[in-house]
Amino acid sequence: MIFLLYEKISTGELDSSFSTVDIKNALIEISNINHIEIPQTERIIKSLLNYFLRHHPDQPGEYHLTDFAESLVEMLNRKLNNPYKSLKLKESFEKYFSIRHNEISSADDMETKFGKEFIEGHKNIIRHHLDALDEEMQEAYLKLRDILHAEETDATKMVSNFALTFKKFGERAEDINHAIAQKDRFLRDLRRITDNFYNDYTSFPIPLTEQGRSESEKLAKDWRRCAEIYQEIEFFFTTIDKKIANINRQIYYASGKLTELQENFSARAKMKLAVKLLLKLSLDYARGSRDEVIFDKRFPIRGHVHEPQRFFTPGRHEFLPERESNVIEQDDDAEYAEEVARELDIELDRDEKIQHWIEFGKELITQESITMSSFMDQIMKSENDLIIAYKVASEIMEYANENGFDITIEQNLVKLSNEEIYLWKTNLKQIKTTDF
Amino acid sequence: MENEFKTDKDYGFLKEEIVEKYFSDINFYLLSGKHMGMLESYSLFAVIDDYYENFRLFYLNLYKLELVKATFDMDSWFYLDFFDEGHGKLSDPSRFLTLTAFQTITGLMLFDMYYTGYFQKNKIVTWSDIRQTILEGDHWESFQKLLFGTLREHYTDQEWNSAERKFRDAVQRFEKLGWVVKKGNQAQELNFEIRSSIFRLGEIYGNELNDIDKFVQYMKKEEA
Repeated sequence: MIFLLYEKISTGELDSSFSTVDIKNALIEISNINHIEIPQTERIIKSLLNYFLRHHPDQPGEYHLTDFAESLVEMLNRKLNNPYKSLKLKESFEKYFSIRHNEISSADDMETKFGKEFIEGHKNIIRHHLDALDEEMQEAYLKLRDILHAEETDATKMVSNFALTFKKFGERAEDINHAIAQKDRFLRDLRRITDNFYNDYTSFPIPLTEQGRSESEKLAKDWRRCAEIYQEIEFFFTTIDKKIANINRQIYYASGKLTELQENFSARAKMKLAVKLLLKLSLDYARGSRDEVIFDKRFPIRGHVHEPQRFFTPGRHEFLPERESNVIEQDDDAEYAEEVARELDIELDRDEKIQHWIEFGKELITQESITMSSFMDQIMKSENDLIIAYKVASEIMEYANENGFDITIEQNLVKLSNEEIYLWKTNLKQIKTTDF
Repeated sequence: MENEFKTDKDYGFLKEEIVEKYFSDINFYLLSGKHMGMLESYSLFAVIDDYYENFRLFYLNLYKLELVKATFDMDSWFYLDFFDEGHGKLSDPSRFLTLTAFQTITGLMLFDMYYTGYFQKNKIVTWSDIRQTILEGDHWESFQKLLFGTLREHYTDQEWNSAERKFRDAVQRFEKLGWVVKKGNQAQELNFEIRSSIFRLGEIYGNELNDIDKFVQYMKKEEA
């Protein structure tokens, strides 16, 4: 709508201020062109107000376009119909970046011609110019691509159109080269002028008077201003250089491709179509599940050599010589082992016999009374082992005590019948048990 | 230099200092199926190029594989190939690897993209480009059906993630094959450059591509 209003104002159809009715009409016009519903006028006005539209200060109910809206339209307009497409870059360079003889004689001249504020517009022109070139490149790319998409018969026709595009590219490349030369010359001139200012400053005699000092200071100031301007412009051109180089490279690459393309033009276009078709087929004959896609068995699956070598790293090993052991190993002592085994045998045998006698004793005391001395005698006679007799006797005593047998002890020494155990006789007497 | 070793069974070139230096890398990459392009690994490429005949006989005699030098779109690369479709003596499946269906489809898609960007110097592809192809490309319907099962107006983030993972896996395989070069790291959006060696896929499917009409007819006939 903003565009339409802008156009109507510029053609004189509308005044610079317009009413709600005018806006409504514009909306109807737009909806007719695009076949869409007519939007609500008030809502549109509300959303555009302030940034794009303003109330007219003097005429209530009327609106005017803001500066921002106008510049936006102009900017887009410039983008769409870039006037620099038909202009040569070299001409722009010549027009804005050249120094005529004796044109600059003072720092003020330099400031007015190339100072930051004055030159911004010129810089923008160059930038727009390069943008236009870039756009042209993109358009040409699209055209180039179409050739590959096109059927062979169409493509041959297109080649003639194409040659024209490339001729233009060639001219552009030439123009850019001229522009670069122009730029170099300009920078050289500018450098020379800056150097002159420096020379003026350094060749000024050492000031002795107040007036001389102020003159010298002015020269120094002039030189610094010029040097600053020079540096700024040089920096600007460095960025421009990069852009130009980029465009240039693309031009050369594209022309290389064209030459190559001419050679096997038909084959490549055919291949491109075949690849597209094969991709379509592969998609048509593929079935997808959640994790895997498989081909219908008719679609050929292909492979490649795959025999990667594997390198296994061995684990870490200590390769130091083994340390000698300080422990002296002992040989088997058969004699000792035998002795221990024999002792063990005797122990086991003795335990068995003790158990046997205990069982016998227990049975005996429940049936009839036993005299401990004669019982022990009996054991000694049978086993000839005092340890057995003693252990059995103490076990039986304990058993009798725990189970409430009547134990009577008389203080009489009794000698066991075995003479060899003389010493023990006395002790036995002390624990002489009574009859049960 | 390379003519010094002419006879079939002379592997003396392996003693050359430069060959010794690069042999293990060359051998490893070639046998793993990599396409060794001029731009990616120039030193390795140059060594193979200088001793091409020696290397060719080496792989012919010892592996029964063909060392191929291919050129396409102003770029060259080396790779190993079987001598015939039956893989000759290499019928052992551990010695070759087939492309999965999805890898084949992705490969053909990238090959197609390569042609689309034919006049641009670097054929950079990002996940956004692939997404665009799925949403609006020539075969959007087939792609969406394959990836999401059904055609819908919108797909969930989860579905998109799963789709991206599939492409990422395929691209990873292609990187090992030397068909693409990845840019950026794993955490970033999928971003890679298609190398001209993607043309190998065109050779792998050479029979089909050279007579695509016949192939289409064959597929249709089988269907009927």
